[in-house]
Amino acid sequence: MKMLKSVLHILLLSCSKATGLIEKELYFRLSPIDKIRLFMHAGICGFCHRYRKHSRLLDRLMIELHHTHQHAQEPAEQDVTALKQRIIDSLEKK
Amino acid sequence: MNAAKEALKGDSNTIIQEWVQLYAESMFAWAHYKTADKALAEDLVQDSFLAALQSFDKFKQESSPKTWLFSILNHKIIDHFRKEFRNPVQNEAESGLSFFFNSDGEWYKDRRPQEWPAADTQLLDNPDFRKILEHCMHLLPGSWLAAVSLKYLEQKDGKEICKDLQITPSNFWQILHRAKLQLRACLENNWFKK
Ligand SMILES: [Zn+2]
Repeated sequence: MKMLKSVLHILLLSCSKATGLIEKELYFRLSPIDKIRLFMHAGICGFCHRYRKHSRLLDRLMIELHHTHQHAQEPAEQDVTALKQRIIDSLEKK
Repeated sequence: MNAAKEALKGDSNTIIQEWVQLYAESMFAWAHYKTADKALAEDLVQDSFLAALQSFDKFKQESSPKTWLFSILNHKIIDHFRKEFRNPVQNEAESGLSFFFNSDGEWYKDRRPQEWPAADTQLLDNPDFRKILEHCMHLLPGSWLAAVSLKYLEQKDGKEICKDLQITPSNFWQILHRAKLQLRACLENNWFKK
């Protein structure tokens, strides 16, 4: 059983390696071997299959979040007034 | 220092103080958006104005003050991210791969990804969900947050980011891997597992 397990890990990756490749492929080109191994792993491992779906959703959420941030989130007037004063004080010491 | 130089220095200080009034707000908004950290954003904006004063004679009249100030600010932001990456990851035991996977690299039973009901980008219409997502992002250690921010905010490709940060690609995606594992688990525990 242990033997079979380690053979499977070499062929099909461990979940730890598979999730790493799932992140890697979002940025970098995977080698053909890694592509096949990831494809096979995600085919038989429901958890990593799920992880991949979640990981991609997280990407989209973060992009959306920051697009809406840009429009919606103006800093509170008071905060910036205090900040301006702080900067001017530090400039005056120069 | 002679009198003429002294006068010029006084002038540049006055000009920069005017720029503080004009641009500090948008610079702060930008830095805050990039770093997702209010106190840090304030420091970066302040540092930028101090740097602007110091290198005022490098400011060429033909470029607009705003463009010039933002280029200084962007340098400060990247510098900050670079520093975060140089700090070694602390507390590997609680946040690294061994938190999620056993020595065979398999998911620990209670950390396996669960089914997420109704998971799509419309979730962001829900302010409660947004709060949780932002909360989870802030729990990431600095270098991880920097990696995630660069990826999502700069929308740069991997090679470019690595060049900016002066780290190797394998180092970079390993950081992202850990960040994503943690972020995913945080959302699952705080939102989807209700
Ligand atoms: Zn797996």
